[in-house]
Amino acid sequence: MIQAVLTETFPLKVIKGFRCATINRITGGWIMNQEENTNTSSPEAQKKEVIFDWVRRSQQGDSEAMESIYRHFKNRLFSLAYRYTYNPAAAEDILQDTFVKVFTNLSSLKGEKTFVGWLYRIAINNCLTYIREKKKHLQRTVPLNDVEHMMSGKKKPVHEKLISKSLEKAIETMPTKLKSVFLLYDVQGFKHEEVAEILGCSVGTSKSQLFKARMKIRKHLEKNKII
Amino acid sequence: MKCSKAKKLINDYIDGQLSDSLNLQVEHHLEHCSGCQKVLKDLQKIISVARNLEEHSPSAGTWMAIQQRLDAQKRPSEAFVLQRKERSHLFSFSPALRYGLSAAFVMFILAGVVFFSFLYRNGRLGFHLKKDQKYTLAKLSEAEHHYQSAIKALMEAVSAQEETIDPELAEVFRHNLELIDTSINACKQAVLQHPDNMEVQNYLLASYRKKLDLLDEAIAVRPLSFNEKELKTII
Repeated sequence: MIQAVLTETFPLKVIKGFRCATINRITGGWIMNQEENTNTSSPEAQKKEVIFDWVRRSQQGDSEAMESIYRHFKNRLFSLAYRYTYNPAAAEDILQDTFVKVFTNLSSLKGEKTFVGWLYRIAINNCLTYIREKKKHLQRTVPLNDVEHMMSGKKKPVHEKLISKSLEKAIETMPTKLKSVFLLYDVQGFKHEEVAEILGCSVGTSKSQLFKARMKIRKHLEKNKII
Repeated sequence: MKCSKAKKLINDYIDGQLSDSLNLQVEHHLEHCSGCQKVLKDLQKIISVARNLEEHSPSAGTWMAIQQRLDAQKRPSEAFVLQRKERSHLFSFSPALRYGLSAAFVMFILAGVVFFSFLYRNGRLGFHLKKDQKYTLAKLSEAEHHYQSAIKALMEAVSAQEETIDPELAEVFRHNLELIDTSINACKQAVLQHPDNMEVQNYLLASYRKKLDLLDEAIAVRPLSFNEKELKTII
């Protein structure tokens, strides 16, 4: 059964031997090659070390470390799941399933440095499974206005808000493959190498799909006279 | 450079992924092409808005729900540990059997209390309180006090971990506790009516002992710390 679970959580091709680009955006270059040299004194490196420590402790059953991991990633993963489903209840289910699967199989993870990519891969697999198997849930999507109370962050100017709403609509209607790359690269801040590892595609595919996704969104916004 | 090629490169241009020479070529094209300038401006706007899209938060109870699901997954390993140690505890039997055994015990106690009360009322036992019997009764009373203190402490421990016990076991536990409490109350009534009846006193103490055993068993089934090896063995 363990084998079955592992197959389920590692169905994607892994790009071997890549080296991370230098850009550290929102995620700060989470996925790293084992051989990569890191500057341990930078705040980003220290942040990563904290997460790696949580992962190591969680592997030994430390529930406080597990909770720290959850608290650190919950909003990002919930937002990701929400933008796949546009259904808060479904996003909540996906988030739960993701963390249950992650903590249940954490001992099988080799090397804490691959944790973030692994976590996102499980989350996206859960999103895709949900979309595939429970399409009926998508029929009763919740209007964006209904979930505004769940949003955090600063208030935006009216025009910015309008673009955000239209962008959300464009993401909602986007084909899954394009959506995955767009959400990971432009929304979550991963690099192409990381997106490729998470989605099990080549860096070239990640780049070309990102271009298609951006152009599709532009077309949607143009059509609605937002830009 | 044609617009079709420039548009394809604009994406990488924005992300800083072009070589220096291609970068210059795109910039040169952009200087003279308002259409591609518009594409660049639009994509930059989209990227900027995407990177600042509002974050959504899950409900406050999500972590608790995850913990409960993880705890529920841990229980099979715990059951395995108990089984492997061949513990002959009440909780290592099936719920139905556990319930049946406790119920049988309580019925036995109640039957004993009723039977001896009946004999006592009809004077068939012919109890006469002697000095040594008074001493025994005092000791029984002292024992009852100790049992009650121990039960109180165990009850506090059990109630503190009640939520972590398997719902099925918790249900059996509650049923058994109710039955034993019924037995204790019946014995107490009998003791009040017949304070000098040592048999009834013994039944009361036996009921207390049973309650202590039950509470002890309930604490023994407390979820253990997470043990990956055990879990793997189970799976």
